[in-house]
Amino acid sequence: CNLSTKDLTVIEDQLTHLATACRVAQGYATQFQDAQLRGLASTVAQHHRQQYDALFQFLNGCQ
Amino acid sequence: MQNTMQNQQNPGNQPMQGMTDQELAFDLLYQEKALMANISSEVVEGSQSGLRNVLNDMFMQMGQDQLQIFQVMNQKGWYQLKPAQPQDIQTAKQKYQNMCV
Repeated sequence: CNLSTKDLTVIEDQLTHLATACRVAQGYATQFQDAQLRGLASTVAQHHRQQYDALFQFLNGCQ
Repeated sequence: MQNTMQNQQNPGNQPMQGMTDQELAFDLLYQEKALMANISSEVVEGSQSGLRNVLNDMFMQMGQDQLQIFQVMNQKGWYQLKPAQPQDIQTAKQKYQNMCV
C-alpha cells in the first residue's frame, strides 16, 4: 500500500477513536428512555463498527 | 464543556448511569462532532489515495448520523437555533457579491 509512517499513525488513531465511539454508542443505546433515540444510538454504533471494519480491512490489505 | 467534564469523571468512556435522555443526546452529538473534527484534521496527513477514500466515506457517514441526532434533539426542543433575519441575509449578499474578483 506504500503506507507512510503518517498514514499508519492516522489509521491507528482512527481505529482507536472508532472503537471507543462504538462502545459509547452501544452503551447509550441501552440507556435512552426514548425508543427513537435508542434506535438512533444503535444505528450510530453499527455504523462505527462498520467504519472500524472498513479501516481495519484496509490496513489488513497492506504489507 | 459538559462533555469534557463528563469525560474527566468517566475515564472508561462509558455512559454514566442516571443521565437524562437530553444529556445522553448532547453527549452523543458531541462525540460525533469530535470524531468528524478529528478525521478532517487527519485526512490531510494521508498520502495514500485509498486511505483518503476510506476516511472520506467515514466522514460523510458520520455527518449524516450527526445531523440525524441534531434533528431529533431539535424536534424535542433540546437544541434550538435562532433564525437568520432576512435583512442580515441581504446584507451578507451585498457584502460578498464582488469580494472574490
